[in-house]
Amino acid sequence: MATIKLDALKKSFGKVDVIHGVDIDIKDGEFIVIVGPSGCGKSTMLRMVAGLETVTSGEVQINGVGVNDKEPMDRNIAMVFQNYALYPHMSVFDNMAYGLKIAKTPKEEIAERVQAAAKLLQLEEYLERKPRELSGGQRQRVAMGRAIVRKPDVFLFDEPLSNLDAKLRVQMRLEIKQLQKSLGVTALYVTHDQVEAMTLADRMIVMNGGVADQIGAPLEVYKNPKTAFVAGFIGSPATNFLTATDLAGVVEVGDGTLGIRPEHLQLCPAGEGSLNVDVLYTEALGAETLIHAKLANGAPITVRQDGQMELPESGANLDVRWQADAVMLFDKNGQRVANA
Amino acid sequence: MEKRVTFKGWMLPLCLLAPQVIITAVFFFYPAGQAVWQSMFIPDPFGLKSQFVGFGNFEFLLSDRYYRAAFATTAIFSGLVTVVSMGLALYLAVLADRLIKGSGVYRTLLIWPYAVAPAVAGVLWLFMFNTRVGVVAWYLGLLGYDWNHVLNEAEAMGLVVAASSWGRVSYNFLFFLAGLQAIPKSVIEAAAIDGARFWTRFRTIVFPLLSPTTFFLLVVNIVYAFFETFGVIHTITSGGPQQATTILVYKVFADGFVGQDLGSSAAQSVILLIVVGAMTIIQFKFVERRVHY
Repeated sequence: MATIKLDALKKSFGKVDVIHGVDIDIKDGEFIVIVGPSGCGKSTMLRMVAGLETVTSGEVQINGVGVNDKEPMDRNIAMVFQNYALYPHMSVFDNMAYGLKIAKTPKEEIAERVQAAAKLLQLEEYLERKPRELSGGQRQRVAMGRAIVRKPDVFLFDEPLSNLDAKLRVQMRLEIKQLQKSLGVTALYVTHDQVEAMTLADRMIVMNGGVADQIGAPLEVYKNPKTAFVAGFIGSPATNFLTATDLAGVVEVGDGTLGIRPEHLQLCPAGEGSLNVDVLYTEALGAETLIHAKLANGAPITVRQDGQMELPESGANLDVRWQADAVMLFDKNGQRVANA
Repeated sequence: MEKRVTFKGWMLPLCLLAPQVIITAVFFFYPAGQAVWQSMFIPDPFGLKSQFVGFGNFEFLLSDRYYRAAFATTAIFSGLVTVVSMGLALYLAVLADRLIKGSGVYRTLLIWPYAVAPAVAGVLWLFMFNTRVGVVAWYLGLLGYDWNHVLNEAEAMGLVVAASSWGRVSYNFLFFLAGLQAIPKSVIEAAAIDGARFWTRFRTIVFPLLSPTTFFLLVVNIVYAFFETFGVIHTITSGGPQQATTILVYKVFADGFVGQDLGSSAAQSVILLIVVGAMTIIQFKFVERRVHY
């Protein structure tokens, strides 16, 4: 149970600034996802909260107390690493019990807590095994178990699902969410996968080149992106961005851009829509279909439609149209501006 | 998974094996066989005739108290050399592992002593500790300590152990450092988050994960202390004073080439061969099983 506050948090490696001042107040029991492309500083930020990286300026507070100068072991946190970081020479039981043993917890209590965690994570049969005898998903669970048994104030996750296959990832994603809710622990979760961010987060921090472009609830971020970067990063397939030359006067954007999500575009016969396109190829995914097309000046545009609808032929000349309120306008620096 | 290579004929595998087999035969099996053969004879001092005595040489050796003393000396000497050289190397490697800037230079400098031949190293240490002109001995004298390894048995042992370990630290350091750097950083970080401070982490995570390296070095260093330290001992103490630094391999030389008792010398070689062979087998059988995780 804990609140976390990041106050103008900055990090530089030598002369290179990787985080340019991030502020956020995290409520008790909140699940915060830090999402962004690789190299945006999201892992560095998590590691600063963990105490594995020093803070260049600003402050990390846990429960209202500054922890900048505290060692990782004095912060009452637990972390799940991307490669799980299990102790290869210890059994599953010993892996989970390690932190408790160091804290000199009585033996019976260690056994009890490890058993409880193992039961929760369906690891009971594997307690005597070594990490190398486990599958990826099981290792992932052990790493979770190691975090749970210590009953920390804060859970930190550093891309914990990126080494799993797609199916397992969906399953573990749900399990992590359920676990966090049932334990009521504050969680900070780093990922580059926007689907994970959307599904897990109470609020998410979208990082772009060391700056928190937007902090907000997933749907809020999706509906109302503050920058072109956020609009492009959140949502799949990615938002179409059209410039003045692409639009040829249909909408006035000046030197900025117009963003429109593929799901907000509809195809219609030539002459009935706003922009004329040539269909290049289609990707029928069953439930939905992605249509990749190009505008008159060759700029690419993607349309997403329901899988039930008729597939356009490759090479067909069609129009696209959209609802006026689906349009997102950005200035030349990528900042959102109000729709005219 | 099948890792063995299968060959169709006999020619290719034979050719591939030949160089190793020939080298082993010429430089190991042949001389070892000769030693076994010679160990059953007592030749006269001029090598004109020799008398067959069966296991007589061995019987004499095993009842000889000087020979048994050499066994004890070897055990102490090789134990000390192994512990000192490995302990120091591990300590330096742990420090170097935490080094970020200048680690390349540091590493290179630490490797230099390994390039010095044991006999040369022996002479260097001899000069430093020479009772009349040695720098270290002189300073020790200023401090009121009368260094004299020529007369003092413990000092003589200390000196040959130091000289033998010195070059060896470099070698061990290299392996320990490589072993340390092979440990994933996140495992160490996980332990730190789990509450383990430096020493606890070292004891419970780093050292166990380093055990394959440690085991390998243990075997190699004991073999080194048994055989390759000959040059150091010969140059510094010649096995003295009072045979205090006469290890088994030195006694082979002293009895055979100085004492001209070639039969006994050969018998000692055979015993040494058996001892080291047995020790290596025991180490692999019993220790190696425990170091794999």
